[in-house]
Amino acid sequence: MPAAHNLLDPDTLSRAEPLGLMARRVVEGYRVGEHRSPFNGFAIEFSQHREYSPGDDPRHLDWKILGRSDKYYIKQYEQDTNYVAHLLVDGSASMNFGSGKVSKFHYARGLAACLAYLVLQQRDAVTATLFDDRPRDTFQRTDSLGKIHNLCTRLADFQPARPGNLRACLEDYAARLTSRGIVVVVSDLLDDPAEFLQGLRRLSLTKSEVIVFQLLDHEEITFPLDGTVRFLGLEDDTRLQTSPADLRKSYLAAFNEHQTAVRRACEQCGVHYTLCDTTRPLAEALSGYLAFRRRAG
Amino acid sequence: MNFLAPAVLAGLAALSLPVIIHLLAKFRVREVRWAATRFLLTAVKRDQSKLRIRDLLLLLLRCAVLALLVFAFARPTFQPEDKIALATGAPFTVAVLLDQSASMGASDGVQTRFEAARAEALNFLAALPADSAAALFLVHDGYSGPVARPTTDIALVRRHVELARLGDRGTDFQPALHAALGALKNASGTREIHVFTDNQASGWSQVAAVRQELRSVDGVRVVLHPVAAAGSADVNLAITSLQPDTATPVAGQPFRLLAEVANFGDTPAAGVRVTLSVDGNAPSADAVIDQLAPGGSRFVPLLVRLPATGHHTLTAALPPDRLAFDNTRVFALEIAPPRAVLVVESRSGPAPWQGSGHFLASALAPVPPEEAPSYYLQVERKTAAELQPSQLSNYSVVFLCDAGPLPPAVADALDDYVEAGGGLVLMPGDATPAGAYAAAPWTDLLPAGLGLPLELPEGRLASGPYDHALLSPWNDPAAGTLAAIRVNRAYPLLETPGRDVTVPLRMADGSPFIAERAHGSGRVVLFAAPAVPAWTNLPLHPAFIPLMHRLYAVTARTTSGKLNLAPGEPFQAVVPIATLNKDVYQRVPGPDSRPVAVGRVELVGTQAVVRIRDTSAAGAHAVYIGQNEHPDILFAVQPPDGESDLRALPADILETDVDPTARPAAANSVASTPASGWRLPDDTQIWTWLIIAAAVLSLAELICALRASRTATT
Repeated sequence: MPAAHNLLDPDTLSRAEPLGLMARRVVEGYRVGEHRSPFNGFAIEFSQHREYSPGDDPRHLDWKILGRSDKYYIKQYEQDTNYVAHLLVDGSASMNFGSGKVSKFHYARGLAACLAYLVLQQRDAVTATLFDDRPRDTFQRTDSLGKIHNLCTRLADFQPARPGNLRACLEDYAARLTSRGIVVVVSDLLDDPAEFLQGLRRLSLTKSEVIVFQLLDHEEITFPLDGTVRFLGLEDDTRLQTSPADLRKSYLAAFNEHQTAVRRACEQCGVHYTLCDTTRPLAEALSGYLAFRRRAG
Repeated sequence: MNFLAPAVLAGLAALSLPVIIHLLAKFRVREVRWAATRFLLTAVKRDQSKLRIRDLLLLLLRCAVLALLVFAFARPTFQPEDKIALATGAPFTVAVLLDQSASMGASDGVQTRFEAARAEALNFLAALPADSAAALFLVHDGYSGPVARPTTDIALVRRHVELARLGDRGTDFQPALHAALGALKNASGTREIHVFTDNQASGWSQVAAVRQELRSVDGVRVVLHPVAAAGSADVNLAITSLQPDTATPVAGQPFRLLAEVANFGDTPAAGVRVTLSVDGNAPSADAVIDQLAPGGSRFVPLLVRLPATGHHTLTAALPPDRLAFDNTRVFALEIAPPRAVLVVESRSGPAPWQGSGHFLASALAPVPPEEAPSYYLQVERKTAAELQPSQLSNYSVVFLCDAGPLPPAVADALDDYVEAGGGLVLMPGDATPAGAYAAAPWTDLLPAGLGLPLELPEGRLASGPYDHALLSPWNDPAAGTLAAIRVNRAYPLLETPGRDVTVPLRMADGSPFIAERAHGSGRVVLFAAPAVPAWTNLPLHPAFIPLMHRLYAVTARTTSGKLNLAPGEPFQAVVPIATLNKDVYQRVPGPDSRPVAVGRVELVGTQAVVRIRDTSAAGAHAVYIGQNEHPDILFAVQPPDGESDLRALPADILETDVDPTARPAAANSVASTPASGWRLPDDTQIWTWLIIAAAVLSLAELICALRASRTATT
């Protein structure tokens, strides 16, 4: 469905507008008292040195030169022109799961919108791709904050329905990536960790910084179900009737094994990994991550 | 196994509850669309078999708990169906027969069979349904009916059961069963007779009659409750008889008793010591039996010197065993003062030896003339002409030895004398006129008619064995033989058909030599020949003196009556008329017994008589006429012989047609009753064990469930 029609669709609008407002509220709320973007200096390339002049931010002084030669030089970067944030949002059917009011996909698109808003706020470029077993919808690169509404509309308009294939999508995206940037993967990562590792490796070869947000529902993490439950697979035809309480121990063991494998894959590829419990507020998850970024640098 | 509350077994349907709950839980399914199915499938793959086993175990435990509870409340029992019927259903009308025979005194060291049977009877009565009626009969060789008609006052029946005491009498189930059937004849509802007994084989001597009577009565069932075979010791010795071997007890003279000792146990007895005591004092004689095989018996002679005249008891005793009543046996006797006997004879001259009764008188008092006044028999010799009818009552026995013709008045007086208890011995001879005894009152008095005397060139007495107590010593070859006695002449004794006559001794050709009968309270003995050498050499034979003394003992008039009784046999004795209407006290056997008033001296005809009816206890009974310090009469009740044999019959003896005497020994043994060491658990025990098992399984189920729950919440 064309974006223009989406914009005109009241339903889409009603779903997109809260998303945009939410992203703004989260980001602005976070930036109260702050004077610089937390993305400042992200993945930017060193351009040149110039002599320090009064008024320059002393934080940009090259302290090594100052130590060696006792001269004041400022490091300059190409930050205004080559910074692109690639948002890869998992739109597979498994993202439809949510034990509360918020599904994982709802949480994912909120997170993507917030990140896009942050990037566009500082006049950097952003591109977003929704994928399941292959890329389904791609929002073209833009550095205009005015396009945030369009992005939100696209995110809101998407309905997860198909099984996912994270490895194929990551490899496909890595092949099409032409410049370095920041690649943000938002997914529940319920695929085979070995497959995920392959895709992640391929992506890390692009020398882009890769950030992984794993979104999981609280019930998926703690498996607190009781009684007799018939489980219906979201991505396959699995139908399993059992007593979850009896299986809890083994479920959690399998889950923890999976999580360990995921973390290990991220570590192997130098990927920053963040686990998000979708029952926690989005702002909490986002602020935690951004605080980490600010400390890093 | 049976159940006292079988309706509760319907609760077994509750076994389906765990399954139903399980199925309901299956149907109460919540559908969840789930993303992380890969973890679920992994977990299922890991735990499915373990969970199935655990679920199955829990299901089985829950079903088992329910089943055990249902079984417990259904009150299972190993009792036969006839017993459990009492605990359910409509009211019963029952007759309880409690065996109180002597064999029930057998003890296992803790309790006797009687105590066990009484306890079981009390439990049975307590378990009767409401509105049931019960009668009570106490069984021995007869019966007594404390509650002869069924009553709904079960407490009264139980009280009578508690008051029942063990007796020393024999066993015969037939009279009591007959009485019980009569008591239930017109009763309504379910009628049953319950017999609590050791089911001793000797009690079923009339089993055929009992079976016949039961077949003729519809709707009455007999249930035997055999008690455990307490007291079935390996060695069970008994004194089965105690009889005098001396004709007449004489004060200060030796007295010989024969005690028969039998071994009713399963193992041989060695070194069995039998003691004999007089009047309950320390034993004054004893004998030892070296070896007594199972089932065997031995006669033991015991010799004591008798004390002064009067009533005495001689008690033979064995070492104690588990069956106490047959370890002692009491013999009562009366040592009379010197008694007068009259010998009526014919004389050919003034010298004593010229009298026909010379040999007889010498045999009756075989002592030198100077000792004759103190001898226990004071013999007087008279001719028929000298005889005064009024003097007859002074003599205990009158001997007519070749006496001359008696005046009719004397003959009538003799008839009255015998009628009153006197002893008369006739020995017709040469002086006896022909046809002298062919008229009244002799025809009614004599045990046999007299023919004409016959010459017997080869006449001899018959050899043994002899059945009569008069001749029992000559059954022992060591005592010589009577077959050596020749009879040259004899009166044929013509036996009268239909008359109750015994012939203690016959000639070798079978013709009677001695005939005897009772007449009134006395006895008449008729010889075929007089005790004179011209007729027979009997007076010259060594057997003559003891035979005459035994003859005196058999025929002598006694005032004390029969002193040795069977249990239950009433005691009766003639006492001096001066004691008429005096109170009579009885002291029954037992260490703590005291004299108890039992009546008064009664007038029977012209005689004062003491009657004692309670003779159920074996041992020495003392009778006091008035409040005397010492007993006036001692009599003994001797225990029944058959009670010592403790062999029992199976409880189904009434339901079969098998002759109990035809059963093999093994079947008759006490092993046919439940062993004393182990008994089937009663319903209370089973109920308790089932509840305990249910509690244990519940605990196990709880632990399993808690472990499962802990696993689920980890």
